[in-house]
Amino acid sequence: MQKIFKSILSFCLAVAVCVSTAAVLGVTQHSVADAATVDTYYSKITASGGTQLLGQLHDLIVETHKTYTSYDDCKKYGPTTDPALDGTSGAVMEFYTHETIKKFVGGVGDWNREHVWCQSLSNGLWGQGGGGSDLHHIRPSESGLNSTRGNCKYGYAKDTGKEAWSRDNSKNDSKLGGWYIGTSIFEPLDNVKGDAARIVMYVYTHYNNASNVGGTKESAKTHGNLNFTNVISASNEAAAIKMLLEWNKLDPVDEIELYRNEAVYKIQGNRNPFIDNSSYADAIWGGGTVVDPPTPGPGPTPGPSDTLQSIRLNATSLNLAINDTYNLTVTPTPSNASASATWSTSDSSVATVSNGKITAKAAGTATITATSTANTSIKATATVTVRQTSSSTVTSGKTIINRDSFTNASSGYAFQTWKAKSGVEGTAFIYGGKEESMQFNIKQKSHYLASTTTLGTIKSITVKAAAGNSEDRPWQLLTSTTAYGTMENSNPSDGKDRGTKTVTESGVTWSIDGNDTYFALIYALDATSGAAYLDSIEVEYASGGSSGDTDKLEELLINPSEFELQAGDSTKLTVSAIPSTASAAVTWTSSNPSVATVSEDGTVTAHKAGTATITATSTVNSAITATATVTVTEEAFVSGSTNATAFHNAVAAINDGTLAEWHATISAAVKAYKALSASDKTEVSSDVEKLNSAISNYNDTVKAYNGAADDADKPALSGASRLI
Amino acid sequence: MKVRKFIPVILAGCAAAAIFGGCTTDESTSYDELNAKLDLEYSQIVLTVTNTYDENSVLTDKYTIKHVEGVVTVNYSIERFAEVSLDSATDEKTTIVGEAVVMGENVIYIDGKEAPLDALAAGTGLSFKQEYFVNATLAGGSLNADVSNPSGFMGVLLNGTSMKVSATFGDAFNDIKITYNAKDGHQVEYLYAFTV
Repeated sequence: MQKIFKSILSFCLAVAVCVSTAAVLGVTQHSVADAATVDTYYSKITASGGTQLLGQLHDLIVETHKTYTSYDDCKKYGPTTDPALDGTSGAVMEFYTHETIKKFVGGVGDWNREHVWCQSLSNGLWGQGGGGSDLHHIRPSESGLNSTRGNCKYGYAKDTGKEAWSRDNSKNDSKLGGWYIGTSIFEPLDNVKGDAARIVMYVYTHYNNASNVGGTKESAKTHGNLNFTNVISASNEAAAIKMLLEWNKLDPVDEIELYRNEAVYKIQGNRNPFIDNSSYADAIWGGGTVVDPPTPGPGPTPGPSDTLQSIRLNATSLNLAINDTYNLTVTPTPSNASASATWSTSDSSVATVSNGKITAKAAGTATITATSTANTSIKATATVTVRQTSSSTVTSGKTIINRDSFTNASSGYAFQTWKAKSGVEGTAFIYGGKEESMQFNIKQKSHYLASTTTLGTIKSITVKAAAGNSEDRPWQLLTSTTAYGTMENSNPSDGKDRGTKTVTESGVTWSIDGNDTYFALIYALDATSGAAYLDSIEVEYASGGSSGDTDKLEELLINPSEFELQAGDSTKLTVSAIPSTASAAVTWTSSNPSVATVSEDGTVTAHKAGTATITATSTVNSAITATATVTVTEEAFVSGSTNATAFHNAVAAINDGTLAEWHATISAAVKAYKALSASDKTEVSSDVEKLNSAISNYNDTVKAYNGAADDADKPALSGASRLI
Repeated sequence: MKVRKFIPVILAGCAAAAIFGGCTTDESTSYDELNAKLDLEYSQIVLTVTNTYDENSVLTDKYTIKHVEGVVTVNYSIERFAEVSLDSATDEKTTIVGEAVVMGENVIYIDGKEAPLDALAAGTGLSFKQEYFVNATLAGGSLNADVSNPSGFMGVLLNGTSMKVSATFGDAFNDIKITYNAKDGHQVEYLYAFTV
């Protein structure tokens, strides 16, 4: 029995590595077994093989099976024993495909409880209790696959059967669950074969009559006669055992099995010994001996760690005008870690911050700091520069409302909002809009133009009729200290009546006392036909408007001016004009579209690691621009597996700069790939796809290069051939 | 040992310089003499073909052609880039080596993979003609020229551009170097080294 103790000791050392890894990752609910637990659990095993070992294991797993879970428990514990590999909360890892499924029972695509040893093949020993609800036995399975498996025995079906697809038969490779022949044989994928075999051996050992397996204790729930041929498609028991041993060897124990073995142990009290040491199988049924279990290595612990590694802000540099605000947000790494943070400012006289909302107070620079509440040593900062706006102390000015102030109303009458370049806004009932006409049709009752915002007190209003297509028409002016709001079905009527004047092409002016801040211009002719076409309405403000030319753009501010994004993420930039009354209309460009692109509305989308400069160019003065720098990083990769991490990093490092660099970096990734376990490969499947794509591109290039070198046109030996 | 063919080439140094440098009106004679040198029986020619794709990605082919008593033996070493698979990381290049023996126009012996049989049999050889060159300097036992008709000069249909040729010679050729850009943009160099 020295051998067994040696193997257990070796295994304990191995799992100790995993335990420490899990601790680092902050996985506290479930990890692989600790050394002491395993050592204690198998301390009564003294046999080295054959039926004696089988009997000892039978007695052990029956005796230690303290809690028999119900079929409902299998639903409850699914996300605990089989957590989704991508970390989706409340979801499970599907047994045959390893895909993530969140919804339990309801239809195709949902998960159900798979009896690995089918209920119908159990000689009536279990339904939905006893062995039929043993967590070591029951695995989450997609409903469609579960149905395809049906009552099939495990066997070989790949060469002659049909493909068994998960979910909607979309035949996406990630949803291939195996192959089947009618209702008789089901073959899982290679990386699941060992899992299935070890579960079958566990069930056989546990729920058989003690006398059948050399034991002395009977299962507290159900027990009876079980043969492997009940669930294995084989001509006899020996052939069934041969296949199980093949599958056990083909697909070695992986970290996923180690993880769930420990998770179930904590619930039921017993363990699956064929997972703890896969050599038990060969020692019992194959004439082999117990050997040291393979070192599992620090592979991925199912479910990502939620231990916070870092935080970043949606902006690292901001340019704000006084009274401007900006909302900072925190993104944690990993993404499922806490984003909670406290906020502080280095200079509250310049900028304040509350729950991430920055308010610019006075010209100057301040640093805003977000400190993680989960780990106060983890911080992120943004620099805020507050600008003194040049138009804050103006005394008078003008704004012009013309056709450009309106959006197209196409044909027909339309209730519209309008906005002058200065920023004054209002409402109107108008026929036609931008650059087509500013037509007020007199057949409509409500034909007017009124302001809902103001730049200050109104000193005068000058209205001009459009040239060539309008007769002189009477218009009435009202002014008010309150906004006119929206009036779709009637003319504005409140405010002071400033009189009716005939509007001509040369224009007519109402000079008023400068006490009111809003106006309404109403078509005053009572007629049944005809229209008035206006050219412009110039409003002169006595105070509050910007000095001089209100439309003149001095500068553009872009926010954020520096920021980080992960590849695949997007954020929207904003631009404001100085003075604020000037136009902030811009066009957008990216200096490096392969790294980040920018849409017409300023939304930046990150594509791959690197930096790009996003430029906003004023549409009214192309010499005025504002730029923002985006730094794109690859999505943070978090794994408990050093091999998976190494592979991920190797794929990320693939460099197609020169052919030699390309080859060297691809080769490094291929070497890293060869070190991956089956579960590693599942975890880094997207990186595997990237590597395959890189290999394909590389080989295409190599073929082209070799083809060029082999080009039949080349005069390979032409010089010499005259001598031949 | 082979029987050497001596072609009487009588060139006064000054006259040769004058001819090849364009000082005389009879340049065609000089090119004819170059062609005659090419027809000499050399005991060995080493042809090195270099394909350069970028500064670190170069394929080098080497052909050593020995001529003994009418029998030509070609030893070749040909580099090609290796394709990569997910199953294994390979060296960047593979090298094909072999030997071919040619008698008359027949390849009578091949030892090695992927022997360039077409090349052995098909090439018509270099041809020096005045109309194939521009900016030519033919003087002092050397030729340097831009090749305006690569296909005519090389004797095969060739899509290369920016071809240049340089050669040194005495009674026979010492070496000929030809460079050009292949149609895919990579650089090709042919270097013939002659041993009488």
